[in-house]
Amino acid sequence: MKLQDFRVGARLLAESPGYSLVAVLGLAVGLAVCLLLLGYARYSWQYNAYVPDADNIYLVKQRNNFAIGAPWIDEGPVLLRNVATTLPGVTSSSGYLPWFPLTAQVDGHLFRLRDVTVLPGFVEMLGIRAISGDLTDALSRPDSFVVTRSAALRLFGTENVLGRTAVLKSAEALTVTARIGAVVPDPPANSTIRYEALLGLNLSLLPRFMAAEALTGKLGFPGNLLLRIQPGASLEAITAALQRAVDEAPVFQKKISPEIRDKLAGRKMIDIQLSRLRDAYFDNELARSPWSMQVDRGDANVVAGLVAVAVIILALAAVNYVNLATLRIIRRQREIAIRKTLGVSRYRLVLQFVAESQLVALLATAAGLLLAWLTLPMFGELMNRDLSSLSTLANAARALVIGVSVGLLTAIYPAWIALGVRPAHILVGRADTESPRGKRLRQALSVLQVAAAIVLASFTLAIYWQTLFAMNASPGFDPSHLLVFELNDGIIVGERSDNFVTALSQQPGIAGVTVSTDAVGRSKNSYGVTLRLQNGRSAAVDMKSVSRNFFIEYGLRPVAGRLFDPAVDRDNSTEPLVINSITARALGFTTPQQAIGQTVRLGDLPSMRIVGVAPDLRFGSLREAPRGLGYQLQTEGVTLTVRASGSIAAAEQAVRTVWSRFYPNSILELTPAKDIFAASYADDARLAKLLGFSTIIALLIAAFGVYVLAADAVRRRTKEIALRKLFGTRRGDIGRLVAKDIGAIILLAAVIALPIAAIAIARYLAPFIEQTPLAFWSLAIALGLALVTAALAAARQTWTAMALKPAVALRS
Amino acid sequence: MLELKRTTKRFVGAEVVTTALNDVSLQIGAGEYVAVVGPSGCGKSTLLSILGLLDSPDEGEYWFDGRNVAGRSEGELSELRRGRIGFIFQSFNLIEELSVTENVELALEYAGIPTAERRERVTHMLDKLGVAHRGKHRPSQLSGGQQQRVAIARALVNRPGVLLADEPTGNLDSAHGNEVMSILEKINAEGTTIVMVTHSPSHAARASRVIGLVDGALADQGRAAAVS
Repeated sequence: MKLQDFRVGARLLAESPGYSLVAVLGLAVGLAVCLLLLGYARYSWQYNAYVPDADNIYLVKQRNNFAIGAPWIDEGPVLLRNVATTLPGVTSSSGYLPWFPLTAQVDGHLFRLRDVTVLPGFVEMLGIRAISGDLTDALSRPDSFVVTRSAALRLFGTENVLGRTAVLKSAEALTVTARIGAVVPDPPANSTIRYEALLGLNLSLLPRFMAAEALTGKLGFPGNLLLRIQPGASLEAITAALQRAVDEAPVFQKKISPEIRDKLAGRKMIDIQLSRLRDAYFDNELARSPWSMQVDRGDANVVAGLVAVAVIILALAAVNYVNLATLRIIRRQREIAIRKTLGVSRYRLVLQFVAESQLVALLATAAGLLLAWLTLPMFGELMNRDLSSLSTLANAARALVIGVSVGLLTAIYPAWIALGVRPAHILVGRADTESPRGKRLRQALSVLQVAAAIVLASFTLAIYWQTLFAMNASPGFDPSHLLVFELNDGIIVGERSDNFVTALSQQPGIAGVTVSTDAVGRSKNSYGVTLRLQNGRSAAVDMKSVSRNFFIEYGLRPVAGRLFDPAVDRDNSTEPLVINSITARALGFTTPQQAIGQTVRLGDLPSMRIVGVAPDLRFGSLREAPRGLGYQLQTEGVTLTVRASGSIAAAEQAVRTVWSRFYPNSILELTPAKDIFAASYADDARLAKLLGFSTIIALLIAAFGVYVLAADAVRRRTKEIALRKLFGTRRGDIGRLVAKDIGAIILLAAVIALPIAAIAIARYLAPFIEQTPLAFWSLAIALGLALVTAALAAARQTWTAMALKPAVALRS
Repeated sequence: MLELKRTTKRFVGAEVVTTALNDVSLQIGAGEYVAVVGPSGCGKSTLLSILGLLDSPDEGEYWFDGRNVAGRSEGELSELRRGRIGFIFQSFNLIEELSVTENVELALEYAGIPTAERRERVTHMLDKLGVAHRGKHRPSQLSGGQQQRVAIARALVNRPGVLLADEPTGNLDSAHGNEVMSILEKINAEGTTIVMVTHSPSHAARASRVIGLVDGALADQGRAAAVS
């Protein structure tokens, strides 16, 4: 490639600003979307990669089998840390304990801090180095702790915080004034180990017995354990040894009563597993578990799907450019013929067109990078991830590689056309346009463009409708007047919290307050039990602990019998049990009424009597099958639900007033009940938005492809149109002639796209128990959108054809 | 120097086969100035294409510089053509995106001439043809006569042995046309073989020999005179 080739390319672009804008911008938009999506995929796949030797770091997972259906969680008994260090192949073991929710008070302001209490070796394993202060000293003193850079800014408004103090609180009675001994960098955004503060085991905030437990694990407490394992070491052997240690630990042995042993039915009480730290982000089991660390988790299938979308969008944009460039080459045949007569070699000719294509690709890459950089914050917000780390020189270099590759690939077909130009034909005036096979290839590519747009549009609409349907699906009660919050920050459930509830209930604007272990719409604190009838029938259910006014505040009426009633029941009474219809059916009752008065046992606990059958409430998302539920009268829960007697805003204000009186050092987080359901579908809503943007871009690109096709069709048929007009054909007939060409493309695209879209939609909907009836209407609407887009895109060329002056056309 | 032996060229369409040249045998000696005349569609341009190695005959032989080049591939023809044959066209066929200097330089670049020598030869040629002052201009900024002189410069800058001209005065007024004809005579006087297709009898008469083509075959001299 010579400089002159780029010069010629630049002049060509300068002489046709319209063409240049469309060519460069079209490719730039495709590149920008591709770069953002690929950047996000790389970000996802690089989770935890910052940890030194990350590929050899494993986290310990456990599953507690005494709870029916219990999931794997990213914790393991702390005692395994010491066991692991004695095992061949384990080079080091450490971990952290998110035992305490931490609140920091600075200058009278309360802040929630995401903290971890670190075990020996943690900072070394993660390669954490202090920006200022002494990390080792700060983590070993009883009166100091460590904060991250952003925590320092949040608490103090500055990064220079060494020696500054804060009142730390982990539970109602546990507070200590501690000094900041070191400041460390924030963990990367793509890390599943999140913290804003690091606490050492010697910090006086930590009860001594817990500090001892953190080192020995004799009491069987869990923690987040990390093991560095030598490459080539036997994971099976290490896992088996850890499992043995748990099986034989006295603390777990004595917890296995004959009752529990029966329930376990041969399974171990705790299963142990090792899992690569690098895989934690995509771990579906941990994502589903409400007891795992609440960090960002991703779905590998979704990320792979987004990569596919990125490639498709870039391919669509590239095809557009190839179409444009090819038409241009056809118009430049005379120039190519001249170059051939002057003796240009085939290699030299190809290089010329590669240079011109590279010029467009490089300009598009620069514009695409700029677009991506400008839209990165918005994209990060859409994906609910901090993607600011994507703006690096290394990623810009990768973008350049992609741009150069696109430049090379898009040059292939136009260069091939150029090589096929026959100078003898062209120079004597014979039209030597692209071969029929080449034309068909371009038409096929346009069909694929339109097909891709139809698939994206259908799929996006289906997701959108299903998400809307799920968010608005009735949870079994009216959530509009309910507020939910938790007694967090280590608030102890007891007399003080009872007085708080009483005081709250008496506030104007509040109709009632109920206590439960879970808010409806979440299933964080349920536990699985087996209810057994005297006749031997049993059913596995999720047990919910609620206060006696639970059903009243949620506005529920019994399906059979009665529900808990403050006039009849006492809180924490062990006898009455309310079940739902699913439990009734599972226990063998053909009607809910038959269950009333029946006695059930829960293991060796006192029998309970079924007093009523409640309507089915949705404690999970529409992706989960409704489960059998049982409700017992216990007020040990930390979830409070407030019913507003008037406006939600007034109720919220009342809650805040009473809260500040009882818990001035704790942070209140109120959530409207309806938002709890929406949170289950937040990822779906984000996916729908992302795909929506992608669809708009795909439609625009497809529209442009149709425009170019229409322009080419009119150009090829100019003489035919002129002759038809000469013989008296009407304008409408000419319009139909052009429309026929375009219509065939859309029809073919629909034949390809609709089955693919239908399969994709069916796959997406499959996990949902209830599906919107509108999902497959998206196919018809997407097809309609494609038709309208094509019609608009071809309109100008159709008008040009209809307005063609025969005399002018025939003369030229 | 150029010899066609019983060459035939056909163009195959979807349903029609056109014989553009039919069993043509022709010799053109080095330094000759030959005019080719004939009615439209008689095969003149096809003849020029074959002589200029832009196309290959379907039958017969074409001896160029002592070598039979019939049946060679496009790449081989391009290789043979480079630096040996110059072309001038009725519609000038300059590349609009290049300046006058760049248009002329293109032929030298493809011939692999080093940059410094290229500049010197281009400057000399443009001077010789009286268009040096337009070196930085684009073709569309030149008059028809100037464009044709640039085309001639491009055709000659490689010092080819053969110059093929396809109606070089077709798009020019008579004054500029005569100017071009004078230039061609000078070139021929310097030893370049010229084969020129023309519809102009007066221009044909300035050649040393006139060949007539009728329906793809050579006409005799009398008919050639009548045709021209």
